[in-house]
Amino acid sequence: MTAHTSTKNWRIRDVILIGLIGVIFGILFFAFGIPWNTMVSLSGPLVSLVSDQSLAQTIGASQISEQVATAATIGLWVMAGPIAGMIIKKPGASLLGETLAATVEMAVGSAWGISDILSGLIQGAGTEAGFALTGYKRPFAGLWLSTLTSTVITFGFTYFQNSYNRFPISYTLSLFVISYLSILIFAGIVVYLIYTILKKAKLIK
Amino acid sequence: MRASLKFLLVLALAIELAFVRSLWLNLAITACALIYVIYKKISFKRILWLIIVGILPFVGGWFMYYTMSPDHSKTFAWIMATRVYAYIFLGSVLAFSQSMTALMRGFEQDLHVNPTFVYGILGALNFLPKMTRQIKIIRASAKMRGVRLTVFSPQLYVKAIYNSFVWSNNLSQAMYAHGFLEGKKRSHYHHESIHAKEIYLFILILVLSILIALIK
Amino acid sequence: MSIIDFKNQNIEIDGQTILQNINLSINAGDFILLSGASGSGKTTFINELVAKYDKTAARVFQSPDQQFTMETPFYELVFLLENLQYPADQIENKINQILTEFHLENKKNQLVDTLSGGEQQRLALAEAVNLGTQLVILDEPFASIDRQSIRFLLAKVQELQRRGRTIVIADHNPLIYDGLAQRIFLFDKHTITSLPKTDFRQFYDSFKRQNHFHLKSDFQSDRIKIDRLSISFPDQIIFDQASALIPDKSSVLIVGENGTGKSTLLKAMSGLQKFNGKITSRGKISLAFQNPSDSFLKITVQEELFLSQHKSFHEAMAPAAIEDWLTRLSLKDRLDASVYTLSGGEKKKLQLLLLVIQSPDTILLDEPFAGLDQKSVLDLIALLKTSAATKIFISHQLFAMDQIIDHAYQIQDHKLIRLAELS
Repeated sequence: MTAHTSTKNWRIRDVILIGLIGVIFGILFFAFGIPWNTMVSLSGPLVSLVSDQSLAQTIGASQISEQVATAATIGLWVMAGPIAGMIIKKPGASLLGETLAATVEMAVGSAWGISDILSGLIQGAGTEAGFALTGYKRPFAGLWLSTLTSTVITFGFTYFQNSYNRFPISYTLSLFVISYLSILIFAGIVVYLIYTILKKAKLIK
Repeated sequence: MRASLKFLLVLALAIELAFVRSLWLNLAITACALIYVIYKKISFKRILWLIIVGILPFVGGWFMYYTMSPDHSKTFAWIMATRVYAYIFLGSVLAFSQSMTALMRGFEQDLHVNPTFVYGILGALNFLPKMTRQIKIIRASAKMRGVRLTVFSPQLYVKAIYNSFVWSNNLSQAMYAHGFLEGKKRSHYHHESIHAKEIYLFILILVLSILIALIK
Repeated sequence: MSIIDFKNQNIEIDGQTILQNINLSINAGDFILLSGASGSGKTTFINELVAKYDKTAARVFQSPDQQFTMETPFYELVFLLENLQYPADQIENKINQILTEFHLENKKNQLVDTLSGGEQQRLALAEAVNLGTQLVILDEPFASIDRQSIRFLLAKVQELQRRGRTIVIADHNPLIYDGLAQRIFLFDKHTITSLPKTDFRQFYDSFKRQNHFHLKSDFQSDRIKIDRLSISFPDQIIFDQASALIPDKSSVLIVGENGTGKSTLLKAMSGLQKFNGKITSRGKISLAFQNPSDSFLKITVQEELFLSQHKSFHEAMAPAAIEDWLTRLSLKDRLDASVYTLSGGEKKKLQLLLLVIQSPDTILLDEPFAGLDQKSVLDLIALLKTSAATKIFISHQLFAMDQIIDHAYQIQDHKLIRLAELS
């Protein structure tokens, strides 16, 4: 039962744990997503009522504010990766955790469809890069580095996917800064908080 | 098509959608995916839900790309808007036309993914309904103690992660009690090697998608 | 022939000694019953057995929802047989044969989650049998199933023993093993004693306890009114137009066979289960979850106590009284410990203390004393008696319950029937 085998020290318990962390965040991502879309869909018509803009224009405008809001909440979506990486300090943990969370979100039925998995892979890889740069030896340095790497990689992908080159450069730049702050707060500070609580509760060593 | 190849194909098409701007590609993928899920007898309610979920990003996306891009290109707005549904229905092919069990077993048998990962992930995904219930219990018990937990409360995550620790211990013990051992050889029920025909179909669909993307 | 030996062995978890000076051997073909309060180290001992045993041990676990690895009975068995490298072309036949033997042939492709407790344990045992190993361990295997299933499963276990397998069973109700178990290991005060055969009779008799309940025949006002409650699950009716009145400031015991819906009733009252009909209640309701960890929100014992005092619904318990109870419940020197490092018994005690401090109007208790030793049960009953809340109990173990219970309802034929007396 204790035989360490050819799986490079990956025990099935570790994989299940990461899988479950992915499931938690997948469920919560979905929970973020629904109120999210309702909020945006309600705000549009409401604004058009009080302003003299046409309904269609307002929906477009609310979609722009959604881009800003998406950047501001990107950190929430990226959290599964660093949590998995901090708890299971093994190569691939962040990538797996984030990808599974995204897969669960899609399977539950989100508005982003298959692009969820793509984003999950990219976001996971972004976080993974941070931990990899420290050789998986210094988790805290890895965590702070990962906020940088995941912002750069995630934003780079969104840049192409959403054709940000079509938008004014100042707009794109501000989206980048907002994204970084969001990732720093949620995937950095909040993850750090969760990790400290888990440690204080003696749930991890 | 077998689940493992279908996964690779869907992923490849998704990458194509992310980087290639083509109205025809979006429409073709939406139509084919929709036909496929109807053929696979996905419930009408589910399809309707997917359509509703996409309306907002569809309309909003159109106006955003129309107003924000300097040349106010309607063609471009249409491309970005229709892609919403291409993503959604391509996702539904993966999510609803085969079981997670079939997909993960396909990874093991066709793509030779390490069984530790295959069954660890599958075991965890089977906990989805239980985890949903547990998160409800966590919030309900907090409410009974006079505390409201939201998605911004670290405590909600900590308690859910605590349950993950307990469950991953129990489930891994259960795996061993099923005779599973990391790195041990397993036999494969119902294993068929990939036929050349399936590979041809795979390549054909990919080539077709590229040709469609080239239509101006 | 012994298959596992313990010589002067201690078992520790995180530096805490759980069991010490264990001296015993387990022989091939033994049928061993493990008996002791929860927290006395039975599960720790089982885990040590599994680790020490050089082959895989077949196991049936306590909570049926965490011993299955796949979605359906069919894939459960596919997974098992593949792990055993069973020839691929014979797997299908073998599975059909196993399912027929355990009366599960109609459940082949049903989700494991939706099987009844009895069906789940039949599947678990079917797997344990077919793993084909010498050692078979069952940890509280019958905790949530009806009597008929227990009889079927016990017969299968006996058959295994006749075929020379070694059986180890932990159970808080030893009476069903009277005449079956050849050896009894008692867990008490961090040690394990193997009971001499001459003491078996006395051991079993000590579990046959008589209670003297004095139920009240009438009451002034009601706290909760259940009106034509109906709940059903796929292919199972739990309640059908059940009605009942829960008297104010009383202690009510709900009794009924396993699987009749006792926990479901508490969930419905606390809003965690959907139902048809009407439940009217006055004031705040708190449910003491069966798994005490579900009730905790903070990190240390002290922080949990502060939270309950701070968020009390009525006047909270006085600080001096809290101090006294902490001492009496032996939680005094655990104030700075993480709630997650407490033993199972300590968690239960803390959970109930927090509830009483917070003083809701109604307390629902789902197996609050499961497996606690007798002193702890007496202490907790005394604690609960200090609370003015209406209390509704579900409890398998009835020890000392006659000191607190004054009303009782039985679940029978999907209805709630008020009992005039209870023994």
